[in-house]
Amino acid sequence: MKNKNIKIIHQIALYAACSLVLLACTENLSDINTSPTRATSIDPNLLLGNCELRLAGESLQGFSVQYGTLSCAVQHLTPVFSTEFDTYTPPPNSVDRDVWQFLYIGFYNMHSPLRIAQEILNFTDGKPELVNVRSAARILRVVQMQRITDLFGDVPYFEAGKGSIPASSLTPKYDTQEAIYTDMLKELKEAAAAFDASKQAMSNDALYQGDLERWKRFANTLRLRLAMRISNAAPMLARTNAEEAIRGGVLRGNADNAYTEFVAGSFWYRNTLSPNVVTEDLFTLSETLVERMKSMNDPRLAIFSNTMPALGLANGIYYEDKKLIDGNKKASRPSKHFASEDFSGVNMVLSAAEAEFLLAEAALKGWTGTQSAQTHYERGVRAALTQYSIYPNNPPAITTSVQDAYLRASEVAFVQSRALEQIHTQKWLALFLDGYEPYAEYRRTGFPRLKELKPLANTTGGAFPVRLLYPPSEFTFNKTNVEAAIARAGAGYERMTAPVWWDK
Amino acid sequence: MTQEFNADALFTYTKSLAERTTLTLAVGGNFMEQNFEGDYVNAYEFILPKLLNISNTRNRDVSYDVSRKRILSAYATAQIAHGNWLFVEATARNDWSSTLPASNNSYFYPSVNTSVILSELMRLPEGFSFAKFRASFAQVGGDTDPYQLSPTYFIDFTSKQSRGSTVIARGSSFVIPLSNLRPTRSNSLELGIDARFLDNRLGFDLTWYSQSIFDQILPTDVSYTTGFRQAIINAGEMRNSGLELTVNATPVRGELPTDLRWEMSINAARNWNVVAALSQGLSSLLLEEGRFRANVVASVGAPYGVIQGKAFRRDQQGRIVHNENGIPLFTNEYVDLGNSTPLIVGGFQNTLSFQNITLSALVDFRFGGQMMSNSNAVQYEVGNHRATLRGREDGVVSEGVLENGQANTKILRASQYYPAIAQGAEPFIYDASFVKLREIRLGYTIAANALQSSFLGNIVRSATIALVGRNIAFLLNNVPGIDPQTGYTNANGQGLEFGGLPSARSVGFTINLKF
Repeated sequence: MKNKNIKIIHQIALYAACSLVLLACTENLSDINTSPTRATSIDPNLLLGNCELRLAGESLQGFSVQYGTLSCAVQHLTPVFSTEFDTYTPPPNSVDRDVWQFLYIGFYNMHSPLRIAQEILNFTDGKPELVNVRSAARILRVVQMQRITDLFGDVPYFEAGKGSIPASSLTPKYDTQEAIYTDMLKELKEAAAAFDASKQAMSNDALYQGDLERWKRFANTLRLRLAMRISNAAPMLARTNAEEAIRGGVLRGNADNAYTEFVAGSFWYRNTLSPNVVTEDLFTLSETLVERMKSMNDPRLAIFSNTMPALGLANGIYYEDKKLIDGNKKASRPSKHFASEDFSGVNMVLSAAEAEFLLAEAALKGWTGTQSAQTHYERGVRAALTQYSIYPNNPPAITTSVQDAYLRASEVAFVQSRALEQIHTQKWLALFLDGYEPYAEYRRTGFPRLKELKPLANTTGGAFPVRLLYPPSEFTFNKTNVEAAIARAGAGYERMTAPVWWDK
Repeated sequence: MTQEFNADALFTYTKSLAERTTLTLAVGGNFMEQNFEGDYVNAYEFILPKLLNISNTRNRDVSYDVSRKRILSAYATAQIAHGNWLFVEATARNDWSSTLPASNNSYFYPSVNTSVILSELMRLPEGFSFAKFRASFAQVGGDTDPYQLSPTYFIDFTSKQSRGSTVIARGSSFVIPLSNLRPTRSNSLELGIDARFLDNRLGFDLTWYSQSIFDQILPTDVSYTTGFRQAIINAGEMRNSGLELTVNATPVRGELPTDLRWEMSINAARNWNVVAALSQGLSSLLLEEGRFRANVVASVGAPYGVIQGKAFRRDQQGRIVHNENGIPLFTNEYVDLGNSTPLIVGGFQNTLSFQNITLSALVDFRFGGQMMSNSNAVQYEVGNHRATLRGREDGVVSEGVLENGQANTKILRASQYYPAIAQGAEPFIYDASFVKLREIRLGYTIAANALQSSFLGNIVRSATIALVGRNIAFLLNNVPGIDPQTGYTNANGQGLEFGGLPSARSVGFTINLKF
């Protein structure tokens, strides 16, 4: 009897223990799957600074895109070792050299501004009080998408960068460059109009510290840039947008410049050129750049070059031949103002100088709202000569008298009949190392005059490459859409000699 | 810090149902929790050189991460044994995983496993010494890692600033999460027969298996235009089936230790893998991303392990197209160049024993399947491949046509031609078949009575000394300078190689003492 009781007590204890374990178990499995250390939603203002800083990419992207591909193509730089784009050969598509990948997703933890801007848009959707940071994100998305479409032509735009939206497409469709530009112009117009000082102010804004008036001028200047780009392909659309943008007001001086500062001592936000020059010694100044500046007696050469007198290295020479050239060692490198040894520096996103050169070209076209082409041209040159005070290591200031003398020099002094070439030569100098804009504007206008290269291992039949190629990854992961895009664009679109839509 | 906690409750019940029939039942539950906690400090720039202290640095990034996962399970098993010829086991299990969305986090999976020893059940024809047939069917369910359901965000750093930006936040991953993730399910069927003949002197074991995996949870590479590198998906259906055969024989069976004995064993396997369907509009999975020149992919409906890379650009007659300088051109996109899946893999072992001496040899083989060798490509690129000697003196004319269709006659220096060839993958696709003398072993066993008479006799019961050589030689290898067994990984993306270390040849002694 006693034994039986004990047995029953044992059984009750056992069942109780089991049910306790089971009760503990049913406690919210979903809560367990919520990370205590990561946020599932975040104040979009905290993403804004990251988005702006990432417009510079990072150093490997700089090597592969901005400096190694584009700045070599427009003969700002000459590569010491690599030959690729400098010799009309496509940049490789290896994992760490893929231009497409850098622009669409970034690199490692350093996300593309496209994705970050989209995340800001996701968090501000349907929240009118956040309209200011949302408008900024719409504009920043356009900045990055313009770079992508200018390089590749028809690309995913409407569905691009949206991976974090549930049920979004994993195989984004390709849009025509015409549709992309039309929408980007609309976005800039709407975003500039939507800024509202009565709504929540932006914080963490590295470009303008929340100054909405400057944001509007930034958007208008971008709109003018986009309009000018399509002025051959869609003259009416271009003119309407340009005149509206000019009426709205563009950047008015170097105080309006949109730029971020690289963060010395941070692996993630350091100067993107410094590792490529200071640590790796990968680039020299191009002979084309140095000779052109010398012939104009350009005072900026002392700011651009690490040695004076400066010596450039010729572009387009095959690697093994270049090794034989003693000039490689003697050639000037980008200066400490661009490639500082402590990895600090400036990423110029949009400058007043560029705004003035756009206005000068608008004046040449007879679009309304501008002053004379000469006035804007000269203002642009002066703005460009004086925009370096924010750069590290105290670049020498260019005084008004030096500016005056420069504007009187034979190649620089404004001549109406050569105005387009002069505007674009000066714009090319003002956008030293920008990469994206000089390469696009050279394709559109044919200025400045660059050295013609006849590289041996080219894949373009010796022609200047006017487009980058879709990467192999798209033919694996987005095959249907990329093949449809090529079919729609027509035969030859898989070559680097096929011009993009605006390049007419 | 990683920690796993398990609590189990198991009740078992055994009963004899009839003469020679036993039933065993078990019911149980399991509680499993995994916890991970990590603190990270990345520091840059020492203040004093060589003073290895984290506080001796100018810049530090600090981060902290936690992950937690729990699985609750209830399960039951039943086993029936009848006589010594029939065994049946059935299992049923239900899991609840914290890593899946609440609506999909419960999954049930049963299995049945049978074996029949035919040689005990009936009298087999003359010559049979043993025969067993086995069959099993199993379903398995599976979950994933924590936090794969929604995007998450970090604060990256706060100590430094660029103009007005003082706080930097970013998404925590390059992988697109999937909010309505379903558990992985697989069905597998396996049939096998084990038969021995002639008093166990000859035998074989043959297995056929077939597995279908539904909704496999995996991160797969997606178009970068999504803004992300990968997405978590429930990957449609994958099928995997195969045959495995082992044959054992003892051609000479002398009585050990005095007589000669010869034993041999050969095994061979063949596997078929196919992606039957994919989800979310995807058409192929990246199995292995080559950092250079080539990838290995699985496309829907196509054989597994297709090697893709840049091929020579060819005209309609298949001739290689060159630019106006005589340099061969490659396609921009990656095209199918080969398949890494072998037709058959296996091994062949022979052992000869005579008195105290044992000699054995193992040969491994693989027939069929290809690989892309980046090592060979780089040797071409820098000109230290033996094949690049051709044309050092007089140059090379690459065979093919110019873009206008005329024959290419341009003479290139070797230093122009070979680096150009190295831009593509097609020239570096090789047949990955091999036959390898994997191991030779010559052993001598010291007789027990010899030991007993020595001073070790009380301690050591047996002693064997052997000379062993491993990775002795290739009897067949088609990849110049490369061991075709070296790859990026041993995972499913075989077929790519870059600077892989060959299996090292070793020759040595072993001494084996039994106490």
